[in-house]
Amino acid sequence: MEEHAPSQHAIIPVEGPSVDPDLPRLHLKIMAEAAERLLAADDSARMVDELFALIRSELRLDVFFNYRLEQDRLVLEAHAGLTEEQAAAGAELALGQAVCGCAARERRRYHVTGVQASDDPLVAFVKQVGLDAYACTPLVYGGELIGTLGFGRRWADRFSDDEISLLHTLCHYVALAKHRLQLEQDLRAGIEQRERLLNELNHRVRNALQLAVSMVRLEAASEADRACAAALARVGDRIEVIAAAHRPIYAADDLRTVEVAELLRAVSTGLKTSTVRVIGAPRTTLPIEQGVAFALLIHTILTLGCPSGEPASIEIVGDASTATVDVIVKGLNMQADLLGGRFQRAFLRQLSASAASDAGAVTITLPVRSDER
Amino acid sequence: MNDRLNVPSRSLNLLIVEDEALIAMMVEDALALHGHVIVGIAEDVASALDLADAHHVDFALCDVRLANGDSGVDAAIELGRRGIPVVYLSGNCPPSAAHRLVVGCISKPFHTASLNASVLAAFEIAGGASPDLAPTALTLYR
Repeated sequence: MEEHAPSQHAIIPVEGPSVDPDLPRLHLKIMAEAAERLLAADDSARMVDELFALIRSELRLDVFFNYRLEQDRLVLEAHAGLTEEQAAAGAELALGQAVCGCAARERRRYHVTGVQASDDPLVAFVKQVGLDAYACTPLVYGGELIGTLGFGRRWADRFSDDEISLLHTLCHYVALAKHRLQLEQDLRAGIEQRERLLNELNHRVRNALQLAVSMVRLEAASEADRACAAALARVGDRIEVIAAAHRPIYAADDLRTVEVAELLRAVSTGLKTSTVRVIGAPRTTLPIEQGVAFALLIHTILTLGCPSGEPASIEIVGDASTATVDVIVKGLNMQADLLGGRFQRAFLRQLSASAASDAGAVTITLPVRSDER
Repeated sequence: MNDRLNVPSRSLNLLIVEDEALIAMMVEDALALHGHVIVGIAEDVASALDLADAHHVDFALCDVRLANGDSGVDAAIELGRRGIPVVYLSGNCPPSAAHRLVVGCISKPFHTASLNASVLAAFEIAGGASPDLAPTALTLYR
C-alpha cells in the first residue's frame, strides 16, 4: 500500500489509547467471520455496514466510506461515523478527487497519515470529517473497478502495518462479494428479460393461431358454396387441432417429448363424444416433433369415423414385451375409408407407425417409448 | 371429452371485450349460433363499461390485452363491480382472479366448438353452481 504523506505533513507519533497488542492474533478470527458474512450477504450496502460493525471495535475504527463506481464518478453507497452534513458533502466524488477518488483513478491503495496536520487539498475532506488516519482501497475484481472502501480513525494518526494488511484483505473479500452480488443481479435481470420475451412470444404465437382459426371460420360462415364452406370448416378444425397439440407442450417439463394421453385429451377437447382411457402405459411419450402429426391423424380418424358425433373411445395399451404401444380408437363407423386417405398415409409414414382396422375399431401401433419400460 | 354441455342451454346477453376484430367476430358468430345475444364488442375498458352501462349484460368474455394499452384485468374488475361475471379469453391466462366474479380463463387458441359449453358453465358457476360443471377448456380460479 502506498504510504502517502501529504505535503507539509508533520509526522505525529501515535498518542492516546494504543492499538490492542493482541490485535494480530485476532485477525484470523475477524477474517473468518467476515468471510462467512460476506459469502452469505444479499445486499451490497448492508453487507459493508455489517462488516464495519464486526471490525469497528476490534480495529478501533471511527468511520468508513464505501463508494460505488457509476460511469466516471464515485457515489457514496454506505458509510458510518459521519453526520448527515458530512455524508452529503461526500456523496459524490469525481475520479481523482480526494483520497478515494485518487485510489479509484490510480487503482492503488492509499494510507494517509497525520491528516489533521496536513494542508494538502487531497485530504481536505477527510480532515474536515475529523480523521487523522485514513486508508482507502480500490475495490477491483478481474481488472474491473467496482468502487472504493475507506476506513478512518480520529484518535490516532495512522494504522499499523498489520492493520493495513488486514483491512486490505477485508476489502478484497468485499470486492469479491460485491462482484458476486452484481453477477447474481445481472443473472436475475437476464432471466426476467427472457421470461418476458418468452411470454410475449407465447402470447403472439397463440394469438396468431387464434386469428388464423377466426379468419378461416369467418370465411366458412360467409361462403355460399356448401362444399367450399365444409372444406374451410375442416381447415379451421385442423388448425384448432394443431393448436391443441401444442397445449401439452406448454405444460411439459421435458421439451423433447409429449405424453400421448395428454395429447389425445387436448385433441379430443371440442369433440363431443370421445373419451381417453390409458391401460398399461401411463407415461407413453412421443418425440415432440411427431405430436402434431399424431394429433391430426387421430382427429382425421375420429371425424371420419364419427361423422354425426357417435360415441367413441380411445385406449392406449402398452405391452411390456414389445417396443410398441397400441392406440385403439373404438366405436367408429367403418363405412368411410379411415386409413387410406392421403393425409392418414402421410401421418403414419411420418410417425413410422402401422395401422389396422377391425369391427368398429382402428389400432395404430406406434414405436414409442414408455417410461415403464 | 369433458366439453359436452353439462348445463342446460339458455340464451344469455353477452359482452365481448376483445381488440382483435377477427377473433371478436368469430366469438360473436360461435356464440350467436347457440342463441346468445351479443350486446356489443368492446376493444378497450371505456367502451366495455359504456356497453355494460347501456345494456343488460349477463356475462362477459374479456381478453387480457386490449386496445390503447388497456388491461383486460381492469375491465374485468369494473365489470365484476357491476355484478357481471367474466371469463378471460387469453393466450396468457392471468394466474388468479382480480374479482370474485372473474370465474376463470379460456386459453387461446380455443376450440370453437367448446366455447358455448365454457360460457354456460362459467355463468352457472358464477351463480353458485358446482365447479365440477367446468369443461376442460375452462380453467377456474376458485
